Amino acid sequence: MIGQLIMSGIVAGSIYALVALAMSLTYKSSEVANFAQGEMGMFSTYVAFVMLATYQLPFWMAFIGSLLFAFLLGLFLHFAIIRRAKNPNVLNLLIITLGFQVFLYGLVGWKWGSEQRVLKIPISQTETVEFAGLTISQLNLATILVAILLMASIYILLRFTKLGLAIKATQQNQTAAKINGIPTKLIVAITFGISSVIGAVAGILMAPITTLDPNMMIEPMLKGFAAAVLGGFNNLAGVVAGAFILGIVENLFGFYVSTEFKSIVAFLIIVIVLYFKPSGLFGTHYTRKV
Amino acid sequence: MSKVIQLKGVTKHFGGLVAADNISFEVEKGEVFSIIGPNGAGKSTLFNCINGMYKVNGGSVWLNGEDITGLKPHVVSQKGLSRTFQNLELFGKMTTMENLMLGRHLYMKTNLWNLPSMLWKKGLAARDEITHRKKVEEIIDLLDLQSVRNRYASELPYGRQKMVELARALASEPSVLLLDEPAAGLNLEEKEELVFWINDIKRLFDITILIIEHNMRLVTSISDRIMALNFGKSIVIGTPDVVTKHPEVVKAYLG
Amino acid sequence: MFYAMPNNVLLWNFRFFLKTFNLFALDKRISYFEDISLLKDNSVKRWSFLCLLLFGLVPFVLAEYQVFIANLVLVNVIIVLGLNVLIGNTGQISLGHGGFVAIGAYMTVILDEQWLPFLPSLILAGFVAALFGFILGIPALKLEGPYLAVATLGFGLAITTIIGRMPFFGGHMGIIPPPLKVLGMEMTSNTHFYYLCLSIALLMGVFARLLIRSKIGRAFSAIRDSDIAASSLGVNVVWYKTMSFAFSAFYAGVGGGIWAYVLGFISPGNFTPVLSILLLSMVVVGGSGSITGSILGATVITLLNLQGEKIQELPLIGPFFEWVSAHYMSISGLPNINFVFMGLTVILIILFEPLGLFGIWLRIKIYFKTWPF
Repeated sequence: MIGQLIMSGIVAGSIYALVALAMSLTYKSSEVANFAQGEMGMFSTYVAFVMLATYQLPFWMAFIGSLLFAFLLGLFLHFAIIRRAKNPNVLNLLIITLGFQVFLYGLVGWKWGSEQRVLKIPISQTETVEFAGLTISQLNLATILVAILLMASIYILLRFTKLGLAIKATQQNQTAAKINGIPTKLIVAITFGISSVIGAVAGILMAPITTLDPNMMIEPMLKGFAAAVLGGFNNLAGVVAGAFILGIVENLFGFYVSTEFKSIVAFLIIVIVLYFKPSGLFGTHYTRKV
Repeated sequence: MSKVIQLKGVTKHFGGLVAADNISFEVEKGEVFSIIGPNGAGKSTLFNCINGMYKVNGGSVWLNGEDITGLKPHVVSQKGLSRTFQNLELFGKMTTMENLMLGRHLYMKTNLWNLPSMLWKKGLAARDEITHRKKVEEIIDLLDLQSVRNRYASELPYGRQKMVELARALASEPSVLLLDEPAAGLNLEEKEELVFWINDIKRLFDITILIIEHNMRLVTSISDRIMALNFGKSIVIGTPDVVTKHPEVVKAYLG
Repeated sequence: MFYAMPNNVLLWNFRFFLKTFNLFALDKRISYFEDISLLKDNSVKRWSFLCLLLFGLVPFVLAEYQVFIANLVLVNVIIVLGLNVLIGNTGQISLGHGGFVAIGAYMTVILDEQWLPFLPSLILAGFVAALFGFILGIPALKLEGPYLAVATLGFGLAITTIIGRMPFFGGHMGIIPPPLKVLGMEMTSNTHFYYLCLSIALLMGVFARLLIRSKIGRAFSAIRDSDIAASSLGVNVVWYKTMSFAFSAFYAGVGGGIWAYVLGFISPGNFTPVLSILLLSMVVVGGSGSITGSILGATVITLLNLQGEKIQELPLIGPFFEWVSAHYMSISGLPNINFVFMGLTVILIILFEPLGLFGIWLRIKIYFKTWPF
C-alpha cells in the first residue's frame, strides 16, 4: 500500500516539479516570481483542447502547437508587460503577474466558459502497467516519464549549451553579461518562454487526470510554488527534489492521517522547514558584505 | 585614563577562513584609534564583532568595563556605541530628517498606548517628538545639512550621504563611535571637511573614535594610535610614527 | 490689498475659494508642532471638514444596495490600512492575511453570541488576531521574498482550513452573527452599518497615520530600508517586526469582525487565498506605504471586484464587448468579464505608475501646485 501511495506521490510530484521548475527558472533569471505560471499553462492547455476538439488535429500536432503558443505567451508576458514596468521591485512584479493571472483566468472563462471539458490524449487512463510489483496506469507512467524527460532536457540545456550558459550568466550578473555581448533582455524573454512551455506541458499532463476547466492550475501552481520554496528557489535540482518530497508526503499524510487536512499539511511542513532553513532545503543564501 | 574599548583575544572565522586571529587591543577614552591594513585583512570583521553583528568564535569584547561579547547590536547600541558602514546603510526611502530622528530612537518615549497624545500640543508623544527634533536640528547645524533636510536620502550626492550617516550615528549620543572607511569615495575637499568634522566631534562631545581607513594621510593626521592588520592578525599597535615605519607594515601595505 | 482686488465679483469669489482651500499651496514657516501635526494648517482643516461632510452625506445620496457596497469598501479600507503598514512600511509580504480576517470575523461572532456585547467582542477578536499575527511574525523574522510569501500563504491557508473543519465554527455551513447592538442602539439597516464602519475606519485611520509618522513607524521603515543599520541604532528588529505583523493582524481582525455583520453570514468560503491576494493587490495598486494609498486601493479594487459585471451597462463599452462575445467567444453574455477588467486594471496601473494610485494623486497635486507652468 505504501508503495502505491509513494507512486501516486511521485505522479503528483512530477506535476508540481514541472511548475516549480518553471517558476524557479523565471525567478533565477529575473527575480520575478511568476504567479501567472499556472494560468499560462492552463491557457495553453485550452489551446491544445481547441486544436484537438474543434479542428480535429492529430495529438502530436496539437501538442506541438500548444507548446508553441505557450512559448509565444511567455515572450508576450515579458515584452509587453514586464519590460515596461518602471520600478521593477519584487512586490510590483508580483502584483503584475497576479494581475496577468486574473486577466487570463477571466479571458479563458469568457471564451470557453467554466464548465469542465475533457482533453483526449492517446494514452490510456485505465490500462495499467506492472512495475516493481505496483500497478500504475499508463497515463500516470507517461506523466512521470515526460516530466523526467523535460527536466533532463532543461538540465542538459543549462549545463551543456551556449544558451544555458547565457541564461546562467544573465541570472548571476546582468551587467557583466551585457558587457560580454549577451543580449540579456532576449535571454530573459526566452527564459520566460521556456518556463511557459514547461507550464503548458504540466497542464496537458494534468488535464486528463483531473479535468480541464479554468480553475485546474490554481492549486498545482500554489503547490509548485511552495515546493520551489521548499527546495530552495535558486537551486533547480533542489526545486525538483522539493516537489517530489511534497507530493509524496502529501499522499502519505492524506492516507495515514487525514484526507481533509492533506493540502495544508504540505504548507505547514514548509513553514517548519523554512523556520530552520530560511533559504529552503537546498537553497543558497547570498550573504551581503557589510 | 579609563579604557573604553578592550578586545581580548577576539577570534572570528568563517568555515576555514580566519578573518580575525586572536586580536587584542585597548582604546583609551577620547582617543582616536585607527585600524589599517590591506583589503580582506579583517578590519570590518572586527567592527562587526564589536558591534554584535557577528558572534565571535573566541575571546571577548569589553565596553566601558562591561562584557558585551555576543550581545545583539541593538543592545550594544544602548550601551553607547554607534557606527557607520563601509557600504553606506542609509535609509534610502526616508528623508534626512527621518534618518536622523531614527538616531534618536533610543531616547524617544513614544509608545503604542501614548500614541494618541501626538494629537495635541502638550501631549506626551508630541512633546517628545519636538524635543528630539530640536536635538536633531542641532546636529544638522553642526554638520551643515540644512539644505538636504527634507530630501530623500537616496537622492543625495555621495559625499552628503556619508555626512548624513555620520550625523545619524552622532544623533544617538554615543560614547564610542566606529567609523568604517569614512573617507572612501570622497573627493579632496570632502576629505578635508571630514578631518575638520572628526576633530570638531572629538572636541565637542569627548567621544572615543575608532576608524578604519585606507587613506594614510588622513590616518596619520588625526590618529592617536594605529593598529595594522594583515590576514586577520595584528602586526603592530602604536603611534603613527612607529607604525608607518614598521618593516612588516611597509611590506604588506605601504609598499 | 485693495488695489489688487479685481472688480469682477465672480473672480473675487473664485480667488477666495482658492485661498480658503489652498489650491495654490505655498511653503511658509511653521512651528515644529505644526510640522508633525495631523491637520497642518487651516486649509487642511477645511478640506478635512469638507470630506467628512461629504462622507457623512453618502447614505442620503446612494441607494440601499450601494450603501451596502460602501460598507464593504470601508471594511476593506480598515484591513488594508493595517496590511499597508506591514507591506509598505515594514517591507514584509503577507499572502495569508485572509486568515487574520477569518479569525476576527469568527471570534467576534462567537463572543457576541454568548459572552460580550459587540464592541468589546470586536476589540477582543482584534487582539486574538493580533496574537496570531505575532505568532506568524516569529518564523517570518528570518524569511524574505518568495520564502516569506509562501510561509504567510501556508499560515493563512492553515487557519482557514482549520476553522472550516471544526464543527465549533459551524463548518462548511458557516455561522450567522446575532443582531447588532452597539452602545445600546439597534443596528439593522445598511445606513446604520455605514456610520458604524465609517467611525471605526476613521478612528483606525487616524491611529495608523499617527503611527507611521512616529518613532514606531520610523522603526518600521528603518527595518524595510536597512535592518542592519536599524539594529545598530537601537531598533530591536525582532520586536518591531513581530509588532508590525501583530498590528496589521489586529486591523485585519477588526475589519473581519465588522465584515461578518455587514454580510450577515460568514463561511469558510469567504476566506480563501483569493481574499489574501485581493488584499495584497489593494495595497500595491493603491500605493504601498501611504494611508491615502490604502484608501484608494481598497476602494478601487473592491468596486472592480463587485461591480465588474456592470461593465455591460456602460454606454459604449458594454455593447462592444457583447459584440465581441457573440462573434468570437463560445459563450454568450459576459461571464468572468470582471476578472478580465480587474486583471487589466491592476497591470496597467502598476505598469504606468509604480507608486500606484497614490502616485497618480501626487502627480495631480504637483501639477496643480506648479500650475500654470
